[in-house]
Amino acid sequence: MKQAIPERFLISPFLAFFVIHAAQIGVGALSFQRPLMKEAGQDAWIVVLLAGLAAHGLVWLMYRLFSYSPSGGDIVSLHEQYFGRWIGGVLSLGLLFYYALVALTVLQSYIEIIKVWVFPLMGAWQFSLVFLLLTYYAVLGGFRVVAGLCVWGVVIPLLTIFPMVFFPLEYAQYRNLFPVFDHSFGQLVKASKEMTLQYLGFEMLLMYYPFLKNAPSSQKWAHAANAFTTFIYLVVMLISIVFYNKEQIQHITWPTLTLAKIPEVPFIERMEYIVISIYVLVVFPIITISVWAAMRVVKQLFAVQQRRSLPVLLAVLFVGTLFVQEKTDIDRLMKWTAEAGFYLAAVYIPLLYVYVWAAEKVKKALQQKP
Amino acid sequence: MGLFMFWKKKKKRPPQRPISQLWEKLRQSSDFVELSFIVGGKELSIYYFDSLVDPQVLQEQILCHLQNDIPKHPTVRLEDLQQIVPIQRIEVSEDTALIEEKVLKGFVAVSFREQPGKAALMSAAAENLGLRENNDSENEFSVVGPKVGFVENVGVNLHLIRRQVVTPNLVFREMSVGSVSKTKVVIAYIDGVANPEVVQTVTQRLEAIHFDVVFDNAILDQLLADNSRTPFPLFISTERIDRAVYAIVSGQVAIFCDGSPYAVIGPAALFDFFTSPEDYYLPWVLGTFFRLIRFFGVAFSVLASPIYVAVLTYHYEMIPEDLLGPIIYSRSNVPFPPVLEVLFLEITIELLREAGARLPTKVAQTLGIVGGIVIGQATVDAGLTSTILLIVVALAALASFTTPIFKMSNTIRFIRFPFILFAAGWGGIGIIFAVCGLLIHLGRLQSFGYPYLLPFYPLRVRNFRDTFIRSPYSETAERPMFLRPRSRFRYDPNEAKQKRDIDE
Repeated sequence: MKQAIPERFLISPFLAFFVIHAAQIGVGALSFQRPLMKEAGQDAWIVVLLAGLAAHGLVWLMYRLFSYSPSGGDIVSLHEQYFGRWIGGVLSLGLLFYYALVALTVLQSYIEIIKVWVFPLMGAWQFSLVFLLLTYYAVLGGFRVVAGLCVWGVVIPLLTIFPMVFFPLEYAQYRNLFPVFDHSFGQLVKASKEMTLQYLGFEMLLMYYPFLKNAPSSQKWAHAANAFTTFIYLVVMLISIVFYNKEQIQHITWPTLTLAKIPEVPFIERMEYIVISIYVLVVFPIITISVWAAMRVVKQLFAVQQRRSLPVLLAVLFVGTLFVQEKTDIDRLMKWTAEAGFYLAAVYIPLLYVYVWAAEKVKKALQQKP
Repeated sequence: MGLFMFWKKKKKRPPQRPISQLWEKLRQSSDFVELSFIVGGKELSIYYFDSLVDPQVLQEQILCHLQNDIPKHPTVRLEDLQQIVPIQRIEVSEDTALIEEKVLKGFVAVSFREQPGKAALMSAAAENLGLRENNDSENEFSVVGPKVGFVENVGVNLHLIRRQVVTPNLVFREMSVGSVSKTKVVIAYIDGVANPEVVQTVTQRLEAIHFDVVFDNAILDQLLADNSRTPFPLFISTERIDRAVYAIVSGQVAIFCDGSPYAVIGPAALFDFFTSPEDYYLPWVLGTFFRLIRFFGVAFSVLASPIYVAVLTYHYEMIPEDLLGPIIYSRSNVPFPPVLEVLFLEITIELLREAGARLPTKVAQTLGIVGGIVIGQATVDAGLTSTILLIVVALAALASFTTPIFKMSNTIRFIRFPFILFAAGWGGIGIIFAVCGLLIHLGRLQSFGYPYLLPFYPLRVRNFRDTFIRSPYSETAERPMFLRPRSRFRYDPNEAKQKRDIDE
């Protein structure tokens, strides 16, 4: 199970920047302002920074964790090494469910946006079908293709959607930012939990770490990606604070999309349609990479051909999208994913790190004794 | 295993046929000529195909010397004929298969009665008979720059290449492809620049080809391709010498094939197909401008009619008030949904193009005018399409023709149709679905094992100097590193970069 991956399947370390960044920014970027400002008001931008810092810490921890892993294995082989076949297998299985859950949540919440904003009458199953077929095609191409998609998923939206966010500054009320530090540190920390889903995405690294060429050197790129994510959330948050007032934003579900209504061009109106369309390129990499990661877990655990297991997982996801249709269900799904992601990234990974660290210490001590 | 070895051995050495049997077989054709005569006491026979041999060479160089000079050297053997006959590389062979192959390629076989089973082979092939002498490279026209193109004769093509690449490192490797045509195929590359792995891949794939007649390089192109289920061309095929030379110098491999005026160049990346040699002949600012226009043309050509379909079918609220009037006015008489309207016009244009390409030039011009103007005007008058759509579709067709490589412009016109269907299904989101599908597809393609999207993915920022922009020559001394060339610079970068201070 631990044979090295041939070099032609690996990607350059700096591509970790795109893969991590693409997996972090998702549907959450359209709607994160409301819950955050509910908790932290005009200080929400500080929360964005705090959560970003925490994410940095977790990324760092993950790289530390992998420095113990034998010759660059992924989390599954790490589990097996430290917990044995059965307990490790169960833990990895949990990871598989988590990745599948992420794919389902992202897919479903994006389809929700399509349904509310663009096609209220069209069957949601059509979109999930096309999405999953495209995912099938992409994942068949292997990790390189998935990573390539992440590059496009970062570059194209950055050039097309991101500039649109600045147009509302025309109507900015900079006084909205004050008073700064109006909330206690405890409040801010509590609010930063709302940002979990927004920063999650780096935990995919647990699976594709061995696919990075000279993986330890990719750490700076991973941090750069996280910093860039923080920067984008910060910009969007600041613009939202100066554009909306605190009460108004509580009535807007997708404040970023409403921001996108503001730009005016002589030959086209309603720019949010363009944003929603191009957002396919933002959402799609997350779905493919989480499906890829789930498939990788299956392959490592059960030695099943990915070609076989992939259609099964996609079919399960498709059926899943048929059942979760109501807004309340989707919200619950997002909540679960956020919880699961929080416990995975902020609780499990540190615990695992401590365990591995202690195990290594004990091992060393035992080796020195005789 | 033993049995297997026996079979293999048997296959390796087919039984040698006597030479008389070969002549017997060839005599079936009426153009096979067999001359026997006695000169100076020697009985000699000459065999050749009348249809393949240049009669002037046969008479002046071969027959004349054989008849006049053999009596002077009564002891002459076949091996000594080189001293008498002024023809290069006379080969003496006993191998019937070789003799057969050479005679079939226009060689003259001379044999003496006293040396049975042996023949001297002299080349007298009329190589250019019936072939074009020159090619004005009209299919890849450029206003500036040389107008000499490759011709059907591979010898001439190699000559044209060697004249510009004057280095002993330029290697031509010849092989024969096609069980019936035995076409001469030549791989050209610069040793020490081209990556040996690529050369090896090309050679292996060419050797592995099993095919009967290679009509054109385009067939080789398809047989060599890494993935045959793609509409995208994986190798550049060009009839321009400057393009082929440029590719060879940057470390790519060119494949020539007898009978084809095109060179196939690989490994190629998607963006190679949108560069034209003219970009390099114009000042870099203009070259960049025209290149950007071309990229815009491609994007427009692929996206214009899908966007029309998406906006008019689903997102009409995106049209500003001022624009809505003209659109309503022009579409008010049209009874079809936008998809049908677009498909109707797109297919009309494809028909015009296809008919124009199949007809003689003069008729094609008339057809273009009749089809373009008359049908276009008539469909609008009849209320089948809107005028705005007519403009969009015509512009999109025009834009697709800006692509310098013919195969790629075909591809671009083809991929428009899935885009239109996706747009008809899911509007703007459908278009981006199609874009995603296209990006995945392109990401999966490879050309001789090299990713097709280079230098964009895997990202090679340093090689961006010659993609969207055509940088000045002081910046482009480096070869594209994604080809993993053996030597890094095309010319001295420091000398090209020297800058002087003001008034110095």
